Amino acid sequence: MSPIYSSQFRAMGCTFEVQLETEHDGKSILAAVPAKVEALESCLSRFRPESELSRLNQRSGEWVTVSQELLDNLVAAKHAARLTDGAFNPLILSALSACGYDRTFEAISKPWVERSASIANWRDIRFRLPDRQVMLPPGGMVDLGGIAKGWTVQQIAHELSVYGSALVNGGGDISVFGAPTGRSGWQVDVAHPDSDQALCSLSIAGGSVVTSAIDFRRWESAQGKAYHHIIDPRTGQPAQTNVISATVVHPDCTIAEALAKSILVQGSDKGLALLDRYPETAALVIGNNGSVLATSTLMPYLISPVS
Amino acid sequence: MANPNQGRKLMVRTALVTGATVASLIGAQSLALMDKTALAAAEFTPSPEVADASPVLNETPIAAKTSPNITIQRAAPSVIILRHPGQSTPSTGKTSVRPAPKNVVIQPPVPAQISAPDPVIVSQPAPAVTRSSR
Repeated sequence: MSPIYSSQFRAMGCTFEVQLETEHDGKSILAAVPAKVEALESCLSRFRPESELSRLNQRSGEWVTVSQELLDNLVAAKHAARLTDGAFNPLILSALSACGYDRTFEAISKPWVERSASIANWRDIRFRLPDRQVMLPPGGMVDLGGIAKGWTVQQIAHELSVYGSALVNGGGDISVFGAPTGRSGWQVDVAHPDSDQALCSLSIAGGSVVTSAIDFRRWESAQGKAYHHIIDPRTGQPAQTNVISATVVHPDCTIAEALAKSILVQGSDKGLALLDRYPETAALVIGNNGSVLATSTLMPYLISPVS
Repeated sequence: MANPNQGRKLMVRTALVTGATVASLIGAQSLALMDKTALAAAEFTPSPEVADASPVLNETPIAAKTSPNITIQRAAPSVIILRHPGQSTPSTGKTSVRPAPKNVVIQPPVPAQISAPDPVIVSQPAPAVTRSSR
């Protein structure tokens, strides 16, 4: 049995946790991870004016040559928008900013004035893949907050899988390759939105687990109106939803992220109905009335009952 | 030989002068007493606005009856206690705290500014928690 190496660090506005079971020099391997995440954040963050994403947003309506990392994220974002019928839309940045989320969550403070903003059509994001070029629709600005963290943890976990079984957790977005020796999978606890207690535990041997919720990133306008960060692309406003928290298990972390957000945006009925199209998906939904719903596909992952 | 009429006239004049002088003294003393009473009433009549506007007034003003018509009120002076003797930290009771300017943005340090702790070897895999990003 190989030793398990573990590390923690802050990045992308949250805590990253990495675990790797390997016979190689795990300390050296994990010590290099924070720099890789930092390099990706400096490319993909909308909160950094000098990031590649911020520069792309300033040139909407033009063909722009981008890095492979940004291109992969934009392709994944458009794919996720198509899978969710637009319930996930990466072009919500102007609406997010209009709702006051125009800076890091920690820096949001009163006062700011409520306003509205239009959201461009995700179908109008165009690619020239051989040339690594992309063109955003005029006036359209991308927020990769919906999937970039998932893409990052999946990328890191994939690289670590060369050395052994790995789990990467980016603030609750989890990607797993393999399972620890003697176990069926890595244990993933689904947190209850109202407490630090686990609602239930899952065993994941490969793939991703993502939770999207409206219980934490909340703020108020100067007029006292409550806001959260899950924007409904149809209205440009925070989603009016009967769902507090949605956890999705899927082989791909970016798709898991998009599906979790689409459940929040569309509500439990439509959101879970959408998952019928994707049998490789499992979900656990907590409603604002205290209800807990799960797809039948979640049962094989459960290692502890819902408490 | 002195004229008896002249002596009588002198006595009458002396009596008139003396009487006028005594009357003037009594009148002046009476006026002075009246002024003193009026001044005392003017000086100690309380000013309700001053008492109510005291920023640290946390007790009912003390009223003292000095006479049926005069009431004296004492209000605490405008003193803010920032730190009590022997305290190492400012008092939280009546301390006036200025909020930080709203345009100051405090952000967590980026990873490049702080070094992440070294990876460690653990005896068994730790459960990971999935929740809204934080």
